[in-house]
Amino acid sequence: MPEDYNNLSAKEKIRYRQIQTEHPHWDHKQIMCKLAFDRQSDRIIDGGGNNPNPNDPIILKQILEGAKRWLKQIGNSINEYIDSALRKINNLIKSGIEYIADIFGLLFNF
Amino acid sequence: MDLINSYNICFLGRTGNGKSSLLNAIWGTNFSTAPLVSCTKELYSVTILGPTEKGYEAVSVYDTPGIGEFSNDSKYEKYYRHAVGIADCVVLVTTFDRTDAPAQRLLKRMKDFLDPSKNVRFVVALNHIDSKIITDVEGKYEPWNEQLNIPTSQCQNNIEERIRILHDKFDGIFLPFIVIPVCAVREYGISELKNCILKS
Amino acid sequence: MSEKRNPQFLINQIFDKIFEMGKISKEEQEQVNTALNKELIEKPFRVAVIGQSGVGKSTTLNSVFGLKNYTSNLAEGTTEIIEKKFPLRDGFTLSIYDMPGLNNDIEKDEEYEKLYKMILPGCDVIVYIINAHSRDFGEDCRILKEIVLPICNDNKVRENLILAINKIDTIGENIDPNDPELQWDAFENLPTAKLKVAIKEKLGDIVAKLIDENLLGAEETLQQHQVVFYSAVYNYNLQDFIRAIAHAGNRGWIWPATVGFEQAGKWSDAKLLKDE
Repeated sequence: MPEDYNNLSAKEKIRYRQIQTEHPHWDHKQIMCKLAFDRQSDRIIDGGGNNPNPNDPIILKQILEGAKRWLKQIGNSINEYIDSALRKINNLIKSGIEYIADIFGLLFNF
Repeated sequence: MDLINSYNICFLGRTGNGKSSLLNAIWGTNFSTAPLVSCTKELYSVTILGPTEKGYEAVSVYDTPGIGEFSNDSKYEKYYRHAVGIADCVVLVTTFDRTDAPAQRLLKRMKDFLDPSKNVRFVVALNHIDSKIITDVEGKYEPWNEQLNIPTSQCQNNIEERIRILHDKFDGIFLPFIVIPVCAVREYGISELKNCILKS
Repeated sequence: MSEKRNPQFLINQIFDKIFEMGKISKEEQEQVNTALNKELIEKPFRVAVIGQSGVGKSTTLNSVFGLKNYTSNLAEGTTEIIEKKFPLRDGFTLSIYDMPGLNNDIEKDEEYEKLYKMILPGCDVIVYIINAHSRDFGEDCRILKEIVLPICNDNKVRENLILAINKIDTIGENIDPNDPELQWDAFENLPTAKLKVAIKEKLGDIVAKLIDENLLGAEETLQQHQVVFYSAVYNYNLQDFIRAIAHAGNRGWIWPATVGFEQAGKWSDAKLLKDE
């Protein structure tokens, strides 16, 4: 089994098998895709579809990554600073913090 | 079950256009008509036995799954081919909604499956004429005269406009046709539609 | 506008913070600022919106992109697509291409396809809106498979696509309009418990169909984060939408980095929304 399957929780593995039975002709990637979507919709619908707050770390991450790519294009070298900011955000995302009071303080406090 | 001496009618149309309601209104059948949920997943046919206007022993009516709801290469394609292939009359059920291209494409594909030995009739039923949800309408729109159970003159204008559009879009695609405005739930235009389908 | 400091684009704030950390020369700082302004101002952020009438294009453009009183006035038979430019603050421009939905007439479809080929490749984000209870879902799949996805793949802008599933609040009505437990709770702006189940099931169905049709979850197809579900009229789950925009292609990040979150303040709750 591919690595990402092994990283699934027990409950998700059951769900994986379920999807596999319902759609026997799907490959692993397709099943993982359905699983990811189901997880996402569970989270959002049960959580009430909360709407954007400017401190959404996932959006900030996208912005920083986009800015980084763009800066590379214009030949700019401040990418290392963006990298550390991104690492910070990644940690925040991993620890599941969705709403942060003062993201800038947290981001750049080091 | 295809009876040998039966007049076969094929009903086509998008999900939600009221094919099943129309069938129920015309022939007193009992097809499920839950709103906007696709009910007709398999090919339903009903055969009405007894002497008919055409002198046949029976009328078989084939209700089909909604056009546009399933992609072209789905298993429903063969249902359409079967129903159209044995049809003596094809009825396209449409509404004021102008999303006509899927029906245009389906009919183009089906043209080759018509039985060349039959003189197949093609009727277009314009259903839901009492609907208030119409684009391009200014101001308050009252489509129905409840007292007389007929469309208002405002609605009549929309009907004529829609008939023009239908001819624009469908002339030359399948067969020559006539448009009959109906409203299944109000039982308007039902006998006209039935006559048009069955008359010799 | 208040007299306190001028509202700054989010991206400016982020860069300022980065600069404050020091070790970046004044010259570099200026270079970045100039380039950024050039990028934001000279190249409007282009969005193409595709959808049949009735899917909620206008409401989506109002709710998500914050365009006040947007009305789509595409007359049937329009072959001229007008780029509508919306100057937002500080010189930033949002540009919308309101694309006609296909399927009104097979002859017009040929014309429209040519328009799609012309316009889609130049857009930063391409939003394909469908109704959660679309009766023509098979057709939407066909259009995506035969027209939109090939154009995007040919021009390497597949990552700019967003499949936006709107009107999830009406899923219950379409199962049973008379069941009060299947109606959207407009007061709390949440689905009821029963409706939650129905929504998850319906969305699961849609996703399964997309995978079956080879539109999702494989190479050269949409990826899971490109599919969002929401209710424009109730401002529900616009967050996912914004995330998808931020993720889109090369320049998706620009819009939330500039005015995206200015809109956010107005979205949070339908109850708190003031009339604009």
